[in-house]
Amino acid sequence: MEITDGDFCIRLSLNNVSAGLRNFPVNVYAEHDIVFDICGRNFETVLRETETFFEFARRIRKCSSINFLKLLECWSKYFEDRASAINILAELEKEQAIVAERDSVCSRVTKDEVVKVSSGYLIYSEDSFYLVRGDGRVLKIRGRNKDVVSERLRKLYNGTAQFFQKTWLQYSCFIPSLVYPLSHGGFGSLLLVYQAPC
Amino acid sequence: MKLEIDAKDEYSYIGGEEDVFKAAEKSFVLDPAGIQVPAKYMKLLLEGDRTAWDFVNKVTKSQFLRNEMTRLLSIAVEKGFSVAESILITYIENTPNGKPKIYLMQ
Repeated sequence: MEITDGDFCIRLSLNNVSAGLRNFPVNVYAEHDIVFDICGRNFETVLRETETFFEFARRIRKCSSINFLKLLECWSKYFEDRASAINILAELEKEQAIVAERDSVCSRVTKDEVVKVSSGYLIYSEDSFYLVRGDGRVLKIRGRNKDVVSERLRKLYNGTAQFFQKTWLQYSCFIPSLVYPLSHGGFGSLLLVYQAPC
Repeated sequence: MKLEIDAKDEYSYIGGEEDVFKAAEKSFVLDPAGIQVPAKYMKLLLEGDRTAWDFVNKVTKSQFLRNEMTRLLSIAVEKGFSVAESILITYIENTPNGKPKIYLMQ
């Protein structure tokens, strides 16, 4: 069975389709975006509350960056405890928004190579991110994996990184000759920092 | 210059007064709808068949999958326009129109 509004489409994988269900028209309106396994009893709930279920599934689908197991847990809760499932989904949506913002910041710094933030400048160079402070210190943003580095980059970008958290900023080098132009800003000056070997 | 199109097997042949070119595979892409038009149907369009033009206009203005549009055009040339038209009417009647509805999968 499939549910669609012509834009978004859910495929429901049922173990057996009863004869009564075969009277539904054939979906020629949209390709499915997501597949859910469902039992007959839960499908009756879907039949009764199609729009509510459809909206829930659409929201789940939007959490594309979230761990699959978390989504599965949220999905299975839907038929047992609706309120709890919706609360879990709201949390996953927050998580998804952070991941989306993280990706956006990461791609912006990667693309522009130099981005001004409240604590200095974020620089992208040779697959690494750096924070160049106004006093000429160049700090490499460390992390055990790419996601962790991206999250730290996001916090620096937003100015939400706490002082004690900045232990993950590894001192790389000091560029005294560039303190003056740096502290006075200017894209050209920053390009000098970017090109300076660290 | 008189041109003719002939649809045979999996290929289409476009013929002028002296030469014949094997033109394409079995279908053409119709812009701006972006649907594939079977060669036999394209032949009807090139011949100026009014029914074929009216039907393709109705199909491309509908809201269903492009491969289904192509299938309807094939049905029209193979089983007749009345058969294809009745399927089209059913598709239009069952269109979700932005409201989630339950369907059987193809």
